[in-house]
Amino acid sequence: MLNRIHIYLLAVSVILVTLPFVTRGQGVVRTSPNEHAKLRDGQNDFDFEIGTWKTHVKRLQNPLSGSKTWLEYNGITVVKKVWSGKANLVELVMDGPAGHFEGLSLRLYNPETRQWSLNFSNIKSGKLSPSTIGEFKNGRGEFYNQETLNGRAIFVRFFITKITDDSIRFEQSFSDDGGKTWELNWIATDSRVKDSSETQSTQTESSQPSAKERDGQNAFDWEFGNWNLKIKRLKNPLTGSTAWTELNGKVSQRKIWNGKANLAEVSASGGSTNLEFLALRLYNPQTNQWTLNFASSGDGILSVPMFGEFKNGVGEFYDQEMFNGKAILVRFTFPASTSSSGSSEQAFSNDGGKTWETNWINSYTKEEGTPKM
Amino acid sequence: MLHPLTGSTEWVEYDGTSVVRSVMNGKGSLLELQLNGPAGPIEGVGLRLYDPRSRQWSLNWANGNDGVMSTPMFGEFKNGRGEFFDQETYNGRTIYVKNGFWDITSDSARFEQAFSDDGGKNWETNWIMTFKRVKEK
Repeated sequence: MLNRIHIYLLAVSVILVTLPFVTRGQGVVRTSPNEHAKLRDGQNDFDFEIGTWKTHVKRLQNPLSGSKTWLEYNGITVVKKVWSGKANLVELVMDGPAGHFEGLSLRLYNPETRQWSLNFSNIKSGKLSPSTIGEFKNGRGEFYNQETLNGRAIFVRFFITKITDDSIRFEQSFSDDGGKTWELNWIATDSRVKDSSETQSTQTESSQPSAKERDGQNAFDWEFGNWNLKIKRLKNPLTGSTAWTELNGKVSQRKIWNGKANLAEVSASGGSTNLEFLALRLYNPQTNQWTLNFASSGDGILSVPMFGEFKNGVGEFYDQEMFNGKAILVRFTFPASTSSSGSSEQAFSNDGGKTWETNWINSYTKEEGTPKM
Repeated sequence: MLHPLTGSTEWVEYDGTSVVRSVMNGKGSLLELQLNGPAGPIEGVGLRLYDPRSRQWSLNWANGNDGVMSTPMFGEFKNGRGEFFDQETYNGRTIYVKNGFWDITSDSARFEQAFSDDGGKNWETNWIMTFKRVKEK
């Protein structure tokens, strides 16, 4: 794209400055708050979907190939609030002739741009697909993306239509000509389940993990439940300053896919700062690596994933990010934990990993009366 | 167009030169663009790479102001028109972007860029360039 002069200022600052939470508000060039004020506020657009649904899916087996072979699945979708409704998590489990399928979608709302992002993963890949982004207009959610299918870059479109309070239709289409023509390849219909006993028999029976998988995929199990949190945060990383601030808050951690993924919701405040963010952690069974994906409720933008694993009870995760306009390395560490206390730390390196400056320390203590999960 | 997707129709004009050379025996090309106009000079490069497996080109732009390579735009030529697409962030919102090359003759071509904020239903053109070949001496 040409004319990137100010586009890049925005892209680098808002999108690529993805440090979990340290850099939010530090050196970030934001669009003026009123810029998108004429657009309608869509923050409650997914509220109708909170609950449990019976799902029927028809999927085109080989999209954009001329084939007309459709596969059918039946399953259960559960949609739960995140951050009291500012975001939501969809868990879908279904079975059909092509096998067993477990997927999730984390939907995040950006209150500045008034767009939602749909962030999908399935249990086999253990990683997030590129965000599909859009908004609701006249009762229909329209979300768009560019992805790669069989090596070619294509457009992806996802429609969500509320039919009644108790039924929803989802349609995915692909376009190989820049959006001129679209081929429908996924139709899902959800019917609300009013009695939760209906769903129990269809809940997932995940296969038993092998010994090797168990090393990795239970790595976060110690963290399930509710925790009190103390945050120590370096005010100005990589400046030589040693001024720290403290925040207090809570972490709640929920299990997804029987432990192969999990979602931590964090809220903390101190002085004039209020933080609300989440971490979606996904386990990739092929690589035995986890990804950590952070987002804050202020902008609903997912960070670049941090990749890593646990060894001897210690987890280390890395990525490369932009900080104050420069590319740096970022490390996130979980030292060994106990069932009643734990910690994690973030550090930056601006010399390719030779030296690290710790700039964020989380200390967790188990909330009184919380059952161990 | 100075302010795309705002309803503004304010345009500015630039004149300049572009130099294109073939790289990797024609599997890629490098365009160097140098423009001058009332809003100041613009320097850019476009590295175009062909993927013979997918038969798609990628256009990779970089601007002299920051030296950062953009998200690649993907597409192909059909019936004498080249169309290339990607999804980017503009003023915070995620939009589709289209680059098109058409009216291609041996000595001239036209380039247009357009943005869509509704998933490709409507496109607003915000950048038009016409190229005329300079005969080598």
